[in-house]
Parts: sequence; C-alpha cells; structure tokens
Amino acid sequence: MAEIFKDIIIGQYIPGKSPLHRLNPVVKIIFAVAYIAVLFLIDKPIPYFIFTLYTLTLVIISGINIKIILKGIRPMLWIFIFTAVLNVFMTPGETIWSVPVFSWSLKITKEGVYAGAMITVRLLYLITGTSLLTLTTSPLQLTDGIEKLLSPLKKIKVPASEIAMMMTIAIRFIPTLAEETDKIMKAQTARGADFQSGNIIKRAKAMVPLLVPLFISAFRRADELATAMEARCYVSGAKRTRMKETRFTFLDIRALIIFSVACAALIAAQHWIYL
Amino acid sequence: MIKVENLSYTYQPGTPFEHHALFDVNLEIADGTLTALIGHTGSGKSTLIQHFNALMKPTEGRIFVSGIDITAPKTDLKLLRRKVGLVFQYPEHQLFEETVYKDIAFGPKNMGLSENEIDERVKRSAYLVGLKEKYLDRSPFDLSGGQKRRAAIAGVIAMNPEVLILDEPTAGLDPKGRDSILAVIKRLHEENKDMIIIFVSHSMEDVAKTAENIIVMNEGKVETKGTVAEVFSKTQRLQEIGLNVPQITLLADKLKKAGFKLPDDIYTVNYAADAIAKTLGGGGNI
Repeated sequence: MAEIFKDIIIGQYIPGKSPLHRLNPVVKIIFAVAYIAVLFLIDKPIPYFIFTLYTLTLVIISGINIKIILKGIRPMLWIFIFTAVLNVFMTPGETIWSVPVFSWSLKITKEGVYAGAMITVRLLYLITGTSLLTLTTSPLQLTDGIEKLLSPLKKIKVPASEIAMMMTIAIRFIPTLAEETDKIMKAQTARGADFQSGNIIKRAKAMVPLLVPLFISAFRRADELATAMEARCYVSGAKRTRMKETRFTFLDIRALIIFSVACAALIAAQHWIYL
Repeated sequence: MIKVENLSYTYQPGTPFEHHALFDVNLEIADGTLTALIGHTGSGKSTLIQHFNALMKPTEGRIFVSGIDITAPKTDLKLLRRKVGLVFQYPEHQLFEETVYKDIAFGPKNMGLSENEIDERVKRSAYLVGLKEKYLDRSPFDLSGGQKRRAAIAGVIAMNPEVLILDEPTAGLDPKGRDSILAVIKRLHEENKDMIIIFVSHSMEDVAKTAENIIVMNEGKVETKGTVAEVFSKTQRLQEIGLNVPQITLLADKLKKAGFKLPDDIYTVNYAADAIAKTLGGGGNI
C-alpha cells in the first residue's frame, strides 16, 4: 500500500466476528443515519454524556482497537481546531474574557465556549460513528446495503443497482490507484522530479507529471474494466441474484429494539432534563 | 562500478506483514558491462534495482556507485539519480508531456541544463533509441506501443546516466517491439563504453541474445552469477528455482544426447543453426 495513503482509514474494513460485524448492512446503515440525526438533535451536557457512553459501548462491542479510530480522527484535527476557535471567538453573548486588538476587541463569550465544545464533540462523534460503520462492514456488504435501501426508489427510475455497482468499483480501485500513484511518483522522481520542495505554485506545477499519467491510467483501466464487464454479459438494469444473500436475523431484530430504545431514551433526556 | 555489500531489505519490519525481500546480497558489477538480472516473480529483482538509485533504503548493508556510498545518510540523492537512470516496468505509462520532445526533455530540464544542451541530448537519445526526428513533435500518446516505450527510455537516457537499469523492458510488447528494444539496449552498450547496463528479464532467449553477464536471484538471495555461458550451463539448478535455459539450449542438449557433435555454448537460434549445419557438413549460415 502506498505510503501517502497510510493514514486514511475511510473505506478501510477490519474483518472481525463481533455482533457489529455480523449485523445486516441495511440495519447498520439505518443505525448510522439515526446516530447522526440524534447527535445533531441533542445539545445539553447530560444527553451528551449518555451519548458518549453509547459510543464507547459501540466501540467496545465492535472489538476494534480504539487506536485505529483515533488514527482516523487525526487528519481532521485541524478542522476541529479551526471550527472550535471560530465558534469560541465569533459567538455573541456574555463576555468572559476580552483582549483589545487595535481598535477592536477579541471577545470570548460563555456561549462561544459552549458552542465550540459542542461542535467539536459533534464532529468527533460524527467521524467515530461513520468510521465504525465502514470499519465493521466490508465494501461489498456496504454497497449491498445501500442498494437495498435505494431499491424502493427503483419505482421512480432511480438506478439503484447501478449506483451500488459504481460505488463498489470506486472503492475497489482506491488501493489500485494508490499503488499506481506510488509507482508514477517513483518513476518521475528517478527522472529528477521534485514533489517536496518549493512554494505552493511550484509544487502544484510539479504535480502535472504525476496527475497526467494517473488520469490516463485511470481512464485506461475504466475502459478495460468496461470491456471485461461487457464480455461477461453485464447489462445495466438486468435482474441479478447474489452469491451471498444478506438476511435479517434474530440479532438484527434485537439490535433494532435496543437501538430504538436507546435513541428514545436520549431524546427523552434531551427534552425533559434541564441540563 | 556498482558494489553491493551485505544488502538486506525487510518490508514492514516488526509487523505481522514482515517480509524479507532481500537477504545478504553481495554483488560487484564492473563498468561497461551489460548484465541481465533474472529470477522468479518475488525473487527480489525489483526491490534490488530500486536500491541502486536510492528509491529504497536498505534495512542493512551498503551500496557503492562509482565509489560513493549511496546508503550514507547525507548522499546527494538528486545527483545520484542523474548517475543512475532507472527505467521502470511499462515506462510508457509515465509519459505526460504534449510532445515526445518535451517528454524526453523533462529529465535534462530538471537537471538545469541549458536549452542547447537539452536539445542536443533529446536528439541524441531519440537517435539512440531509434526514434525518427519526425516523431519528436508528435504527442507521445499517438505513438505505437513499442515507440512509446522507446520514447520513455529515451527520457531516461537523456539524463546521461553512468548506470542504466531497465526493469523488464520488453514486457507486453510484440516480437518486433521486443527485438527493437533489445537492439536499443545493445546499441547503447556499444556506443557508451563505460555505461553499466542492467536489465531485468523473464525471457531466457532475450537474455542469451543480449547480455554478457547474468545475475540469478532466488528468494531474495543471489543464487548464481557469471557470464551467459557459465550461468546457462547450470540447467538443472535453474529449472529447480523455476527458471530455465533458452529453448534452443534444451534442443541442443537433446541433439547431443542423440549423438550429434555440437558445441556446449549454444544459446541463440542463429548460432545453433550454424553449428548444426556445420556438423551436418553444410556451409553454415542460414
């Protein structure tokens, strides 16, 4: 795997046998959406505390090393800091600290601190929750789940299977293109290309010898894949069966009940508890 | 001269994916030689050649290129990469410029040469790889497969390297394309008396036709090395490690066993034809 992509865990799948791994992908996707919806519904300390417990429980159940999840959060650190700082200084309200900057003063407000903390926590859990989904679901299962969820839309002519196929292909080609990038970078480096030094314009220009061959190769691969698929009689919109059917199991029903109750409890807490 | 001392390379050390790609490799390659590097897939050939211009750093051991320790921490990598030109597998996939001329000029331009010198080098390397001048103004993407590859090789030659390494230069080409690339390698060898040329190949026929020396890699180690005749006399051992000698050598062996009088150094079809004709009392020459 190429060096430059080693920190990105989006789309990475870590095989396992935890209940989270075994859940039906359709159920998992619904959970992920609900998880995010609830995350943006709550805005008080106690619900957030309960939400933290939920998230930790999910991480523990998944059996995935917390370090891996933290590694996925690391590239986002600057976005966290940026949004938090922006919120802390820009929210109007009760001033608790102010620094005069020329004729204008930089104010930290109570509301600002609160909003900054909230947005950070929201982003943190947003990434954790979605990472948990992709870390415990193989790309194939994931697209399978999306196809199932989109299938009611087939009635209004949404090409659900094609969308799913496109996603599968896209995910499949991430490591291939990463490898290709690595190879081309090495080859151009051997011809004296320099990708590391210089100012931003120089570096952007240095990318041309990398990007042109990469795009050409991506188009060539796409072309070859299309031919190969046609040679194997792939017809878009044809009715297809699956090698591995995903079924709803007792586990899914149990998980659905537990998750609904947990969500309900959270919304109730948000609604009736003052803090 | 290239000298490799106790070179070892381990992929992802300390993880469950740990893999020893090279193991205690010792080599000496003299100036002005044309060497073929052969070995089964995964024998460490590609890993080895990427060490020669420091695209990979050894886990252990040292490498000297014309007396300079390229594994020392403060080696000038840019300078080194001018000395050691590396042509990767399918080098035509790295073409990117609007015209063949500009693409060949990419390396010399990065070296900061003057316009005149760049022009000279582009034309000379185009000549060396057998690309006619009319192709220089065309887009590299309009060329045929073999021409593209020659253009890409020219791009590396234009940097005037002391060492030229080619990773499977004939892979995926038709017989005509293969022959033209091998002819380019031979011509380069003849016209650059001091240049070290190393090429990786899976075709024993290509090796027999082109190389002077052979290095055989097996499971990350140097299995054997020597002249073409020395290496190809070890038929049995080569077959044991998944390689072979040229088909014509096998045929000559069978003929010899059947009682024909033939020399021991038959590795190319032309030579075999002559030898067989001679032994049959004919005039030779086909």
